[in-house]
Amino acid sequence: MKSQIARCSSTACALGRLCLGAFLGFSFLASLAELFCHLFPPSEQVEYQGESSSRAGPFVRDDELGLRYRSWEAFEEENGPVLDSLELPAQTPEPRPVWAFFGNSFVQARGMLGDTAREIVDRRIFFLGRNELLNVRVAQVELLLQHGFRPERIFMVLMPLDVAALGRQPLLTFQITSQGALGYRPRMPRGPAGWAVEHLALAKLAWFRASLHYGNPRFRAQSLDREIDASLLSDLRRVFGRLAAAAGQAGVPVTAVLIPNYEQIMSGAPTGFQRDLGALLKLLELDVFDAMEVFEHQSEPSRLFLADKHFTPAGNRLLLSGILEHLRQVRPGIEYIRVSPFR
Amino acid sequence: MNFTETPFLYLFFSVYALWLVLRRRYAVRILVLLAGSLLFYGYHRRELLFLIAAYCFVDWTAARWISRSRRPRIPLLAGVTFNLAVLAFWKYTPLVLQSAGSLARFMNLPEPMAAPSSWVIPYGISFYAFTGIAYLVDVYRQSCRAESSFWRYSLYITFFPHLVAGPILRPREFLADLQPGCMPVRPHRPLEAVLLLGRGFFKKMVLADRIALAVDPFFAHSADPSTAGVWGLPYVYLYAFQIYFDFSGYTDIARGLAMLFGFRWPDNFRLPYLAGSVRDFWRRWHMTLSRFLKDYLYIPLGGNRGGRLRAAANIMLTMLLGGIWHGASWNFMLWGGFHGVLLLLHRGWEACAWRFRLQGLAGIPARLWHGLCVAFTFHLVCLGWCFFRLSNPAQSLSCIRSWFVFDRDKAWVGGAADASLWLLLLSYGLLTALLHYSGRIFGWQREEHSREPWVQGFAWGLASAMLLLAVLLSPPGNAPPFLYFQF
Repeated sequence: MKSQIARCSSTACALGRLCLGAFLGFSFLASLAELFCHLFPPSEQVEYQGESSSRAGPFVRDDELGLRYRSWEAFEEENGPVLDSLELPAQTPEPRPVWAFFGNSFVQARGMLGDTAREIVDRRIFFLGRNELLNVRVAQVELLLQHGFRPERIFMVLMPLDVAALGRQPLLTFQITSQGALGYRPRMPRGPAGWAVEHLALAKLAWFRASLHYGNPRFRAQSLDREIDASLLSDLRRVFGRLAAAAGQAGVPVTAVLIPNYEQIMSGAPTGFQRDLGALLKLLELDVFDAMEVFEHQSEPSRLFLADKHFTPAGNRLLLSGILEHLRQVRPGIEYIRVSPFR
Repeated sequence: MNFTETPFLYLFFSVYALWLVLRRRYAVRILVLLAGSLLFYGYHRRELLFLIAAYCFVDWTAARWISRSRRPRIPLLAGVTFNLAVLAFWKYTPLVLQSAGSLARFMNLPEPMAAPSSWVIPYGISFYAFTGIAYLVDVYRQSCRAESSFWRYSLYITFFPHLVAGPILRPREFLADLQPGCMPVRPHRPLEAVLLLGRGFFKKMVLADRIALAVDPFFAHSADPSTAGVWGLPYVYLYAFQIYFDFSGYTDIARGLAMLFGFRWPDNFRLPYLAGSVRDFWRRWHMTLSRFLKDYLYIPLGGNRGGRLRAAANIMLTMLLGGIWHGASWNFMLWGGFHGVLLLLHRGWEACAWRFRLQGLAGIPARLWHGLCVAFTFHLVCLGWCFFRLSNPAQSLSCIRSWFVFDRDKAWVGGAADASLWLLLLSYGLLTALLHYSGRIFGWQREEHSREPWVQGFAWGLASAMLLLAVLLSPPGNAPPFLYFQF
């Protein structure tokens, strides 16, 4: 009996020493990593640092849109060389009307829709050449219109990925620092886990790595093919409502161009995004062009895409031809083309 | 599939759980491991399974023919030719067509058809082709018996830890362990296995991937005006560490996984950047490949026999072929040829009288001399990496020229200026040295059962922390694949 007890206590002792050793080993490395993360916060946390961030920017908080530009000068500083070409707000000697494009890299990148329109359309084509969040684009449109910009038409080019950022980070989570930088309020856990995430760099890193810091961590961009959920739709109503109001006040027509993504064209993924957003935009009395009708009957759709899933020159010309054909129906009798899109 | 993908976790735990439950049943174990390995290989491209099945069948049949034939050379040649021909077809067709096209344009002749842009080299083909060749030659030399079971042989080739990027195993190192009565039924040194896994994942996911993010933009534009004036040497240092951590991390993971199934495999690296000469470097870098090239190419060609000139030719041919094995680009051949020249120069140095005087130094002068040799060798190896990393000689030469450009405004820019990266590398080096030397005091290196419980616990704690930190400290976004997967 005594020897049994002695054996058990020596086993328990050994187990205890094993656990202590494991704790020491784990803590040793973890504390070094903790120090490292304090010295060098991970890049994915930069937008969530709030006032402790050293970043600066041109924005101020806007309750409805999440942000707006602090001033015209701040916007001009960000986009100066491109704005010079418009010579706002005075009339320019250049007689051709302006078409303004706002959108992601499918518009802004070299060789994409913006450049294609410049080559083909008999209009002055304006785009800022940088990809922005959706509400930033609307803030840009608002500011330009307030400053006297009067294009013949504004094109707001939209794809599912354009609203994905709002899906993850709703307007409520937007935070503008006193330096004007755009950031977000991270979603934090409650109780002891919240304390740990707040004070321990590794815990915070784990929280961020698990994508639990997003305002809506359950949001999945792929779900946009099927439908836009109610909370995201509510944010989009606010954003596009501002766009409709600003454009209506300035008397500038807006055409929303809904571009299908690679999966929708090549794999027949659902077009719930186009259906739901199209309906919302029509309710706000914006003109809507669903580009899916141009792409869905193409015999060799693979020729329309580059390896990175952007459009080839042929894909861009096809998209532009669809836009022009839509405009001929909206405003018949007006010719837009300088060069044939099909060569 | 690769080790850092999430589906691999599910596959490994499923296969391991089945193995733990069924390990007393020999035939079932073979089938479970074989099925898991085929799922691993064919996960992204099912058509690759036909290719590897063809390799397994041809090599297995050829070996049995070798063992029974009165003229074993014929089946040996047939088997080796098949291995090399299929490897050459998949790997070198685009290079051959591209080179033929360039030559045709130069000579104003009609150009041959180009390889389709969707041509993808089956990953791992270089490794399992060489494993098959090693097996056939060993059977021919009668240093191992021809395997009677097709399923056992297939598992030898396809076992997922070593399938895609080695180590290149000899039959006695693994096939022998698959025989009835020899196949392990319990993990081999589980603590060491988990330490290897932790170290491997940390090296790959934290160190190699962070370095990749820092250096890839420089190498992508090394010949552009945009990098004019940027000091290239720090980037080359970082790449040297990237390729080491990436490949040795893979090997650690492969060996750790194998040990969990009870197999003990040789290491592939032995602190290669502490080599005092290029010859020493090749005894420490990708050791299983060096061994293969020596035993199955250099020695059959004649090795050191036949005079100096013949030996030199054998070295150059071995290194040129070793270079081109790495990739379908003339730059890889240049890299191999460069190392061949260095090996020949080292041979000449070995016969030099000065060398013997310097070897006779003692104390601090000897250490200084050794340190100089290590630094010099490291820089020679880095020179070679400029050819290995870049896809054409012009870019490589531009990269080497950038070593000697030191514009104060552009000296430390971009990824090379990331202080966190250098601190991480320094910390890893110091920690590794600390753990190595403390192991002699605390007994890490002793057998597990003879270690103190708290020492064992400490090691388990370190291993767990390394695995967790590999996930937390890795850069966000999709992880780059292992570099050697492209070979």
